[in-house]
Amino acid sequence: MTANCQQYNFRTFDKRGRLLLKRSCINRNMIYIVTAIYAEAHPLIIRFQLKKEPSHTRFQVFLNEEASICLIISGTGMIPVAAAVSSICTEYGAGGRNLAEHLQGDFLLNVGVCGQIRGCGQSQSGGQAWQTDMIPEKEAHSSESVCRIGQVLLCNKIRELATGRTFYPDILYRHCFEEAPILTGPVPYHKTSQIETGEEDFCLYDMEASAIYQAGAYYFGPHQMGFLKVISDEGQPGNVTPQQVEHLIAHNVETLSDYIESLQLIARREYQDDPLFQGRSGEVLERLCLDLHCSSTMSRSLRQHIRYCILAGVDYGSVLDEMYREEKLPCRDKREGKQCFEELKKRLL
Amino acid sequence: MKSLRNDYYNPFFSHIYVEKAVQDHPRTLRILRRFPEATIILIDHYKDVFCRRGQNFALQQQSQNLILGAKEGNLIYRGAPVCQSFGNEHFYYTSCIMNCVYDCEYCYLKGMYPSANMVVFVNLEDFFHEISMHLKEHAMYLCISYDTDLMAVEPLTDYVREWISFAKAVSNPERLKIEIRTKSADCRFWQGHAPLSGIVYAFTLSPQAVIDACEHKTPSLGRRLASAGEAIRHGFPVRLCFDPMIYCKDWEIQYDEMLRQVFAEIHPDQIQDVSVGTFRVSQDYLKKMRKNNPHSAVVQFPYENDGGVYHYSRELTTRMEGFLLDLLKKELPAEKIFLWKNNQ
Repeated sequence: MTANCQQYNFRTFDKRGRLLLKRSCINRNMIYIVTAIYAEAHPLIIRFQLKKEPSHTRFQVFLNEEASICLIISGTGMIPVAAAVSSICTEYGAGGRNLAEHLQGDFLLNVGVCGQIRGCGQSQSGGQAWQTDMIPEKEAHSSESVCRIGQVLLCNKIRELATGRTFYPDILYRHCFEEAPILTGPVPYHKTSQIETGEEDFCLYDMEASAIYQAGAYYFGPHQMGFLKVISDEGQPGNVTPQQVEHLIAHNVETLSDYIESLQLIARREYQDDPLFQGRSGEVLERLCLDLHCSSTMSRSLRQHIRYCILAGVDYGSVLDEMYREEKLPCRDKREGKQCFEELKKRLL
Repeated sequence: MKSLRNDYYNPFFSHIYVEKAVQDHPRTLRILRRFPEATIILIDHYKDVFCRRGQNFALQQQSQNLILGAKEGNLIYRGAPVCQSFGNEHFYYTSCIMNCVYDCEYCYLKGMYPSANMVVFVNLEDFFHEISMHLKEHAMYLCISYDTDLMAVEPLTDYVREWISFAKAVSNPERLKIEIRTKSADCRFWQGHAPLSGIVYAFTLSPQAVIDACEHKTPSLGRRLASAGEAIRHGFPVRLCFDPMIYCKDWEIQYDEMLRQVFAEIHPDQIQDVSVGTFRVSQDYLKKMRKNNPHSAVVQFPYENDGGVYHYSRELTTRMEGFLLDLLKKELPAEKIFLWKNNQ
């Protein structure tokens, strides 16, 4: 188990006392990878040494807890993928127990193949792209460059054909891919299909992205979702075999895994546990609450004062020591506690 | 992968979202020309991007993107009670740009907006039209740089120049007073424009220690003062805003030192007026700010809540404001000093 793996009380029980949430150990900074079919997943399963979770029967789930990667194979289409995302995110507590908690280091990543509607690709930031040390710098591409089969693109805009709704994942971090908007439809794209894209330059087509975004939005913010698509065909889906799909992903697996690993490094750097009330300061606060006979409102106020003191570098420890020496602490009752708290506030600020 | 370089965020305005309706607008094209490397993403409405659920303001601030759109509906608002009206009866503000390129920890925008991305509305004419309508009814004191720092993005937008042109052209210019509040320090601006008596440039000043601790990406106190001095030398009306005053351990020393620096650079007679006020913010905004910035001392200060507005304790407020007022009164007549009061 790695350092960023932490025990959480995620165990919840139903009325009969049955454990609803199977896992009590949840990794922070988990990458949840969603693929539609096994052929898309297999190269990643090999690359990250993911092990099948036998307890899952509805969807195939592969996990490497140490690497903080969980992969789910949803099946093709919007409803299966929405169900899969919801299932895995709920079970593993992705993004926190609720939106307010928001485990910001978790990330939902869709990896899969897509059809190409027309030539596309927007190079990112003049090809400055990757700044990670292991990833080759990409050459600059013009915004009109034509994509090729086997190329990986990062989607910056997702339009759902059925509803016309559009979603925009945040692309905050540098990457080595070209970017493109994608259309998500209910049926495979054929070259002969008439698709209304309006004036916009939609050039990719898949059957899952919009559903993943919408289901994922219950657990993740737009900065925590990514959509990596490998072009498999230009509207001849029947000609693409699972072997070819696996080959396309395998061909790009190093680039994909570099991206995944860079996301994990960023998460480790950006999202650390709140250290303020861990260890001694937490114990001090707990004792102080008791010694001041704090009500819940007073406790919150006291916590806010101590939090400020820690952040502003105020030596609250000395102030407390002094008050204990003067025997103003511990207090005998609530009334004395209130008076003492007022004095403490004055001494701290 | 074993390591990661520090600049893993996308550069400033790497992605520009453009409303389809304004993609051919001259101002859109002018702004886009400044970012030839940016990825352009067409959108239906600015809120489709700006108001998405679950955005992380702090992260977006590290990789701020730009949204170009058109503002509809009400474009001019009544001044908020927490803002200084400088004795003006018809106090309004407007936001032709939302969000700021600076990153001040205490800024209310962090609690007010769901996104850190900057929205630039290109339909300035609609703003000008609405103001003209108001001016037919009454005089106006209009703050145009509250929810952004217009001067800071002037090289990108040219909006201050456009506001100056508008103010010059209104049929009853004596009825329109505009305030442009800023922390920027671009001295070139003063050489390229002519002063107008109805437009006052209000420099927000803080002690250097506060700037270092809380006002990220902003120019130093010295540079702001140099710019304010340059503005005065070119004849522009200048206001100095010691608002918000921010508490720190040695605030008396810091604010005393700041005023010494101010009056060493600027002669008091040359200042139109000054404003003083300690930090205050609505409870809804502070709640979000605290959630988004758990490690910011200024945001986590144990403020007191009074009628939905968080502020320093009455005693601390009186001490801080009184201290600064006493120093200012030595340099300026009382009528030039405006203190924000809760009952404004």
